Amino acid sequence: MKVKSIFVIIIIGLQILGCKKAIEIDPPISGLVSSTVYSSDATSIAALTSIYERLMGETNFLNGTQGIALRLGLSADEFKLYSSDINLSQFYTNSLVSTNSTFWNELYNFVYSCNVAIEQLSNSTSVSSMIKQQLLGEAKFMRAFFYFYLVNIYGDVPLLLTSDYRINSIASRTPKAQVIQQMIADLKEAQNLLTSNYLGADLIASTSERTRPNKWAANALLSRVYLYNGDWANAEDISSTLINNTTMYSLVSNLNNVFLKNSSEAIFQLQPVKPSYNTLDGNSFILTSNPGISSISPVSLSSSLVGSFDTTDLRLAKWVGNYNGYYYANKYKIKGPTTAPVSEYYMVLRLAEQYLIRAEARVQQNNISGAQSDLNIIRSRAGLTNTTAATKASMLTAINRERQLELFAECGHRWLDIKRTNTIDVIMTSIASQKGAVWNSNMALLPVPLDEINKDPNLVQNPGY
Amino acid sequence: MRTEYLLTSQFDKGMIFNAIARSFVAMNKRENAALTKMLRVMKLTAILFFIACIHVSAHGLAQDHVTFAGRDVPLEQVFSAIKKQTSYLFLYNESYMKYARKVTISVKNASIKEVLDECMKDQPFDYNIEGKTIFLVNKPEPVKVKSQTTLGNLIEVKGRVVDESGEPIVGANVTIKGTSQGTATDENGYFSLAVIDENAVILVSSIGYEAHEMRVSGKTTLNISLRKAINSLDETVVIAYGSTTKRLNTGNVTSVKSTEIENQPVSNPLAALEGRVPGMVITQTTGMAGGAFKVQIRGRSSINPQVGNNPLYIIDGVPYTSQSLSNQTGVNGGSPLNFINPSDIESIDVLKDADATAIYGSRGANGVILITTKTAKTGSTKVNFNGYSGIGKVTRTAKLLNTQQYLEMRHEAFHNDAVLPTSANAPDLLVWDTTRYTDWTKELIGGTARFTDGQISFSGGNANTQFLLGGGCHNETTVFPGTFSDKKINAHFNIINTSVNQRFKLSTSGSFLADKNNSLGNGDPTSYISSIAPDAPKIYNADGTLNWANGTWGFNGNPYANLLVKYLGKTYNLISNTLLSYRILNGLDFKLGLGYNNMQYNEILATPIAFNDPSSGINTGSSEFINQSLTSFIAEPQITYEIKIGDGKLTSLVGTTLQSNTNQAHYLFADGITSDALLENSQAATSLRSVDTKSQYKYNAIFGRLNYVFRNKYLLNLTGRRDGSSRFGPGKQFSNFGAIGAGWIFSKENFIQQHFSFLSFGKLRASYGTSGNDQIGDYQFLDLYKNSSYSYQGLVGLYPNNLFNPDFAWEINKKFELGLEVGLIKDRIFISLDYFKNRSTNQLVGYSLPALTGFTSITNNLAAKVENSGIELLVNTSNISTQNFKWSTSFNISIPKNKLVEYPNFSSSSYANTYVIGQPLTISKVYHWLGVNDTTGLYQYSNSKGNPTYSPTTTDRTVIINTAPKYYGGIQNTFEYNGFQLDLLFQFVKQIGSQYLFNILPGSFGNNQPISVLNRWQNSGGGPVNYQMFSQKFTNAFKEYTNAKTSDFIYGDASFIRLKNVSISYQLPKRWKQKAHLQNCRLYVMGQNILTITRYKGNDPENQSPNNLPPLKVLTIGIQIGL
Repeated sequence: MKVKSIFVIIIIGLQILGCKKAIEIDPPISGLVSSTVYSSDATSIAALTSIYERLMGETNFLNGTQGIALRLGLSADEFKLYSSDINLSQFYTNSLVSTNSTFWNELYNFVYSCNVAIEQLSNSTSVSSMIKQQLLGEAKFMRAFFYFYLVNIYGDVPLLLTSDYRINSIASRTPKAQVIQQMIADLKEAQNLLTSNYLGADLIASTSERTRPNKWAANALLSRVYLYNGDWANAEDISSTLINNTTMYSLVSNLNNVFLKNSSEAIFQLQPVKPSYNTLDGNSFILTSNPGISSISPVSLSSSLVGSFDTTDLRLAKWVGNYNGYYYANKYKIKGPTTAPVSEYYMVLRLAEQYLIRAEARVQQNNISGAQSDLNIIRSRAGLTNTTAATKASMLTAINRERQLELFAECGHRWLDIKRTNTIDVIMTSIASQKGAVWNSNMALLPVPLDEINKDPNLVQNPGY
Repeated sequence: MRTEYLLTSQFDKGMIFNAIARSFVAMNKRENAALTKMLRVMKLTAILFFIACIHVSAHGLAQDHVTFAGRDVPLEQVFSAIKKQTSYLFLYNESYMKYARKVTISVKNASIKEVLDECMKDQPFDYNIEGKTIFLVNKPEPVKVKSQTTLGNLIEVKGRVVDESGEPIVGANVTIKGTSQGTATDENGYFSLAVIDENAVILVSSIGYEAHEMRVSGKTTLNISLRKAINSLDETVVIAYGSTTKRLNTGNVTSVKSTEIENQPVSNPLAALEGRVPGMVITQTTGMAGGAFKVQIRGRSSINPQVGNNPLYIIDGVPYTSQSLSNQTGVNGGSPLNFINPSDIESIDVLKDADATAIYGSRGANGVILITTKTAKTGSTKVNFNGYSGIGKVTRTAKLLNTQQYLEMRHEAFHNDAVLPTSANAPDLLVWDTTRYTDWTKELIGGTARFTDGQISFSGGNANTQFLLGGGCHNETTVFPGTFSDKKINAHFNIINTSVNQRFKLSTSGSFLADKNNSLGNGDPTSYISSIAPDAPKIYNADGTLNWANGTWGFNGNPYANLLVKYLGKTYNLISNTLLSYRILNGLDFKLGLGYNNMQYNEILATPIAFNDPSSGINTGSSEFINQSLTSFIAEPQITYEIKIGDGKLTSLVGTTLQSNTNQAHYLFADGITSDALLENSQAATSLRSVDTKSQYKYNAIFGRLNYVFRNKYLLNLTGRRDGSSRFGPGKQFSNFGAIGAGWIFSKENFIQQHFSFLSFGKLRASYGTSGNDQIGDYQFLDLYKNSSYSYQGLVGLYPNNLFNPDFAWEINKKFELGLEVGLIKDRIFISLDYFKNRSTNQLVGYSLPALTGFTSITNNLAAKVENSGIELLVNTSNISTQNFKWSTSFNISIPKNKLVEYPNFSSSSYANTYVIGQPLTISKVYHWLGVNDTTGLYQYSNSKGNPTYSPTTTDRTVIINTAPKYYGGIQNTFEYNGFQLDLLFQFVKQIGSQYLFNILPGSFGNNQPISVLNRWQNSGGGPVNYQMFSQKFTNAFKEYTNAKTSDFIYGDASFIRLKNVSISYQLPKRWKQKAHLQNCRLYVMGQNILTITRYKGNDPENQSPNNLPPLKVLTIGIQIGL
């Protein structure tokens, strides 16, 4: 009996010991719980800031050898590959295999960040309203930005507007048109939510640095979306607002200075974050040895691109470098680790593109002279004479050529342009054979990563993969 | 002093002598705690009687005539009748009865004398009657030949029982054969038996030793040495919170003892378990020092392949991490067991079924590995030294193309592609010296690793305090070019103190190991071999600098640049534990286990300036400094209670666990270091970046066990645990686990003993219960944001770290086991056969998600049901056992089966394209390869309709390949002849694996290939070939090459038989040792992975990777000396 009672006491004692207190732990020091993040101004700002930081830091979407400028440029006709890197070879010869998950995973991870931000900010009562408005604008702008690349690289893509993985994990592909409508809606909201001046990290003080999206950045992307969507009138309207905002934006006359930080031509730039580096695009494009020798500089500019420049084109002199007979993109001038302060920022949106957008929109609306004048602004800065094109068809060709020369090696413009203008099959058939590959129309869309197809039962692959 | 005479109390009930005698026996056996006090008083009384050495019986009736009839009745029965019917008493030494013959007698009213004469005529003894007392006496006539049936004089025998190494054996049973007379040895192994027959046979037995018989033959001093039992059912088996014997265990536990571990020249104890434990698959993933081992007990239960299903490791009661924190590249994450010195281990016990593991509750689902370190032993101070030295080389390598074959392949590729080789796309053909040939396999991994190991220990102590102190060092180099080494220094101690009254006991031990691993910072060079052409240029220029060959090396650069990147890892591992126990009452003990483990990792990863091709413009070095610590505390108060109930013994245990783990890390990234000499100084960096992490895990539980052993025949074991863990969100933290185990030793049943006498042991056991799995990271239920690496606009960002789910709960693993253990011919053949069936439900996994959700997984419970079942067989035989020659064999085989049983809404889940319901989790769904199309020279595959295609899609994956082993096991043979001992362990695995048939696109620049690619398509009509045309373009041929990797083409037989361990040792003859004043001197040769028989086409069938170093074959010689 005595023994029994001892047992009873012990068991009761153990029950007391076995309480929740014994398993209470400290919160982790390496992070914050999301409800905390979106409960204060500073941490909410930090959450949006991380998107810009990661675009330039931990992720590859915009960065150097893994970025869209180099990879989509390789897929198109801008670069020649000297490296035996398989991944780059797949882009170069337009033979991506479906196991390749370049771009997709990162883009959707960013979409998630935007969706969480939109959800949390909309519900937050403790973030001050001005900050909240600005951050919501930034999140919507960035969501549209990421979807812009998703639809234009992959075609129809799942349009995800929630952070709920239960819904997203079984999403099927949304028609491209619907994704575009959402982008337009997001950008219009961003237009209203964002301030027209550029803000610093506190989202209160104005700054000369154009490193956070503002109302004009939303406009610039919106006019591009309208253009891609064939909404010529809106494209013209919106691009005009930027071109007319001469107090903030003007073309930089010296081509060597276009890509400097705080350039007057810049509508949205990203600040390089990796210590001792400027832009990683500059780092990988600029040649200081033969291309392909180091994995950092695997490409040169293609002869077809270099050959397209008029010899008097100042862009050939100032934006194309030459090392040992190899031409390279020299829009950014600084390569490699340097101890000098950062002077070049990554250009996301710039005014010259708006002139080209308006020119094209005007041609499509049969305003040839208006288009000519826009095109000539770009040409004259490049030291070229006025365009001789006078018909709609010849003007469209002239604008396309001008886009090729003005926007080369920037954010994959060329690849998206030849797709958009349905010239891809013609151009790529000849380019592919020069690269020793064979073009097939299905290659215009990249494969959806196989893992995604395997994991999301409602997702179908693009044809041919 | 204890008397050795026992009463032959065949007398009437109620007699006081009888009661005293019984009580005394009971007290001696300490089986009846409640009576202890009373007994102490009675003890004195009893002793008085015993000293008299007499057996007295009395009866009230005064009558001298006896009536009795009986056929073959024991003599005692006649005596009993005489006592009942007359007033005579008997007085004799009990041992007479041992020799008494049965009698057949029929008398009616006969006199005492008549009856006694009749009974005694054939007995080996005689009688005397003095008054009313009948004495039994020896027969008066002298004995000519002493035989067993002859009784000698009564003498007192003293002696000592020791083990083979001369250590005293405490508590050994010393009995006189055929009687229940006996005693036990004291703390120093001494015993004495008073007044026994000088011709008696003494039987000495102790748990863990072979019983030994010895004829007294008149000697009064006996020194008895017991051999360790090789296959004893009474060997100690370590189980959760205690130990049992193989005989009485209701669970499934496989023990690997120090003798087996010490025979193997390994630096990670896991390596010593390969092929020895049924149901456990251990795969060495790399031959690099400190490399990871994949450990799986009874199959994979987690749907997510990322979840390791690691067992729970407990070292001397302290839970030990299953994951290394090492940041070294190339070791596949490393193994934390690498920081445990194998020679400190006494035994490794692998717990498999519910009965054995349920008491570990939430952590026991994947099995439990209990590691017990060596403890101190009583005796004079002993010194033991053991040292070995040896060499190692990789087991196997695949043969690659030589220069001529490589150049042929490249030219053919250009020809096939109709492309002209240029100096830009083919420097290997046009720029380099094509007469050069380097066997890169030999250059990069063909070296010889050197092993040196030395261990010394001191142990000894008296009855109350014992100590063990040991230390040693280990050094091994690598097979890579360059001076890399892994050095270890270790120390181990154990102190045991017992109070004089034996109530209080303290045992404390500690192990410390410091590891200094000077290794490669850029991974395993094995992975470079296949990406260098055999005609590649010289490594070094004349001035000793790396030859960059004008950048023609290709994408990977000069492979030796990677060897310049240094990894310097220092790991300090301290494990200590203390067990305090106090005997409150007889049978009732309080215990407190306290444990502490601290692992400290200090690592530097340094990239020197010379690593960079000068043309890259990078002229600075960089370093990464990592400091991590893992601290774990555990306190486990327990109460155990033992009581005799009826003919059985009930043992109960109740306890609680309080555990806390803290994991802290500090990373410092230093860039822009301008001198290689300053690489280890973060101050020299122009830019610094740091990351800090910390996580905490707390765990709390109550556990209990009830064990009842009835008549040493029927066994019942109940265990239970209530667990709480900080890894779960509010409301989900606590859960209950439990198991029931039962055993029936049927060989103890009479009818078995009568009809199946060849059966020396037979046990049937079964268990069923639940255990859980908590192998998810900390804080998974929180929606966490982490800091971005860099700052933007001067602000450090915060971004989502994971998708979160606050509602996940415990994963439950239900285990069923049925076991049969049979010993035949005195246990010379011992068979253990087990069937198990485990079902894992409510799976707690990182559920795979499409990346479009933002992340690729989320911690979640799945309603999926995974079943692991299987049969395990273990057979130990003692084939030959003579004085000089012994041969024993141990064989084990496991046949596992894994199955995804259920998965609600499977077709819409993210695993729909990976798994198949009813099939194992280890499958790959692949295309069916149709060979090479003779016209195009490209591979073709079968689509789902059976038609050939070049572009198979997901739905065409119709072939299911299962890469899990079909069966596996090991066979060990031990031969002993005089002082020689030979051990051979063969490991075998039957499996299908990914063959190494080709490397990245055969024909592409710089990628060397296995020679199998030579059987390729060259032109149409060229006959059947295995390999498609060579190509150097990443177009069509590349696409088909990629498809081939997802087809049945690359799978093939990866079975192997491996001479895992061989050990030959020679124990010096006794007289030599005596001359040299050595207790022990053994010379040995040990080998690991000596021979591999396989049809596998790649490097090694065990790790199956062209990019990871194959395991090493190691040969060492050594000496063991005991003073």
